Amino acid sequence: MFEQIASATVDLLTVEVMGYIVLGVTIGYFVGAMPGLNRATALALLLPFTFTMSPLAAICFLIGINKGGAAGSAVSAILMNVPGEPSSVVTTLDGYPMTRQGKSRKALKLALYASVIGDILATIVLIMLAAPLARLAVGLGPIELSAILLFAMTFIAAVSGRSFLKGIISGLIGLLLATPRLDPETGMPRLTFGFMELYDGIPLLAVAIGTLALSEILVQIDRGWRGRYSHKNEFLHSASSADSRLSGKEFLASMPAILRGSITGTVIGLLPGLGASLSSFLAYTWVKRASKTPELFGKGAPDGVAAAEAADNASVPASLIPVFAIGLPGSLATALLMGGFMMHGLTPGPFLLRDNIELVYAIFLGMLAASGILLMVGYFGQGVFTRVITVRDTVIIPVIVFLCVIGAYLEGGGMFGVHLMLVFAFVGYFLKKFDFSFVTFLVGYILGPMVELSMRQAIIISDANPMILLKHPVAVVFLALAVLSAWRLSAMNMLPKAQSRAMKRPDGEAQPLAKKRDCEHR
Amino acid sequence: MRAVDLVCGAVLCALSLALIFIVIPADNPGGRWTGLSPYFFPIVVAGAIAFFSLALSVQAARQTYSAEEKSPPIAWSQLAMLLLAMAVIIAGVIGISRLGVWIGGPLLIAAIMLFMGERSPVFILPTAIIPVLVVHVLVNQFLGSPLP
Repeated sequence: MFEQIASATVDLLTVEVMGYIVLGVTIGYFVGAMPGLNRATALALLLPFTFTMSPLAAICFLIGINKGGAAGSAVSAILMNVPGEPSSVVTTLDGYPMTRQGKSRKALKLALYASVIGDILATIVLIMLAAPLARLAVGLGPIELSAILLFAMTFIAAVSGRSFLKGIISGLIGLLLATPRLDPETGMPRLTFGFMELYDGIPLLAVAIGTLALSEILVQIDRGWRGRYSHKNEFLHSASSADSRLSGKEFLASMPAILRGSITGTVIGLLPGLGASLSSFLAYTWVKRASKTPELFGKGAPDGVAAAEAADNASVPASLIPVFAIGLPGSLATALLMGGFMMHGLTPGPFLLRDNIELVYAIFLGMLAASGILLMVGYFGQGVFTRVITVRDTVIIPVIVFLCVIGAYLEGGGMFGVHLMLVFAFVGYFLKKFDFSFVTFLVGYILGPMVELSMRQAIIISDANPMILLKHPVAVVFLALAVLSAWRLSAMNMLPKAQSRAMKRPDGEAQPLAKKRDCEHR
Repeated sequence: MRAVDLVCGAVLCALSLALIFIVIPADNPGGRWTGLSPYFFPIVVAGAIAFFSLALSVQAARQTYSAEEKSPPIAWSQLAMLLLAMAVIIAGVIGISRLGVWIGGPLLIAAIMLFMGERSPVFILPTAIIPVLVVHVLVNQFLGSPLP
């Protein structure tokens, strides 16, 4: 084991890999800080640029974007009351009041430190849990795998949107989109309608860029991009050094909140579909309830910022636990990361840990290195990022559209990929407008081939006799959990409830969301 | 639950049934197979979509909703703006495929900037040229991939 770790360290400590981690974290931080952009968009746009990288450099680059994006989203939440990502809505509750009190630098530093600590703690949990879980997963047969995938889809559909039915329909549409390709058993072209470009399936990047990036640009038309294309630079920095400095005593006072946030983010993050938003809200509620001064929350309590940011960032590595253990993505970002693995010929899951253990160790070490780099990028770059978020939308959006076209061109078989991307931009626009869950859609699309293969194998093994389930108790348990998810969890509406609890003022009134529209898509 | 769910469910149900009964039978590759048909999985998934879409419609029909929930999520003006924006983007994409990225790229960026209301050439010119230059160098030199 130590030999493998030493070898992984050597692989990691190259100029190429470390350089890409720095680049990924910086890009992620920038994108996270920009209102209207998010890390899923950045991942979709930058996936095609990883083609020529080594698998390790590519994965570390993408993970860097993911980590940087989660931390960077606090910048605009604190300075402008506009969350860079939906999960940062909670940060606005106390972050922006701190800015109004002239403590923006203190809030930004606390958010950064909380993000890094949450990130490191969750990465350690990932390293400790992934291998044992993967060992358990290696023994799973197609029947158990089918049941687990069915449970995962149902669970994600039940918790990731406002309507279970819409969630499950989104997932099924994703599964359906994965079917035009060569049939895995006979090798016959299926639903390709004569397009040879579809023999390998609909290109991932055409789907991801169209539905995530370009559709988001189209949605912004509704928000009236005319007239809002410059963000006002009204940051209220304090002249007093005491207000802008974060003392060691203040930092230590926020440690319990950071730890609570980290625990919440890790636990919620590892469950597929629940996402960073819910973890931030739950962490905030927990810290507020445990506080001796709950009346200060919503008025600039540093613990509120610390808890929300620690939870947000802890959920990033935690969400990779099911990816490494059983190859199951639970969020948009992890689904795209899984796509990144696949583009480099790697299949995340138990066999990756068994067959490519050195690479996995190197990725884990790269994740820890990314946490350290995040601290440096955030600390030294904060001044730059606070300026960058004032760049006009009229500059950012056209460049993103251009990058969408180039990205789809690079992977998707030339202009065919670009045309598909335009179609999926329309699809994504209407999915968003009609409140269909994006997470289940993309997870369904990514898992489609695996679901089909395991289902076919299960049917062949069982000879289509459902009684065979009696010999597979694990499958029965997961099928029961799938039914339970659909029946109970969908009725619970977890995120709206957590939001209303977190946003309740001490006087019992609920606070309005800082930017309700930014909470729409998880 | 909005009234639009009723329509949405009905449309999705109709589309998935059309897939099962019209599109899939029309897609005949002309081969033979033993065991499960290559179309087994798409039919199962489309059937499930039809079932859940119908359930969505029934659920929406049985619930009462407020006047606000009855209103469609997309106004006609928004739809017009969407179509206009897509027309600009599609024109830009055609420009890239016909004229190449060197000319089509800046045209696409400049057209979107103008559409968004930007009028200052000080912003339009560098924004239209610099990203194209950077992407061209990155893709050609770094990735070694050709661009249109």
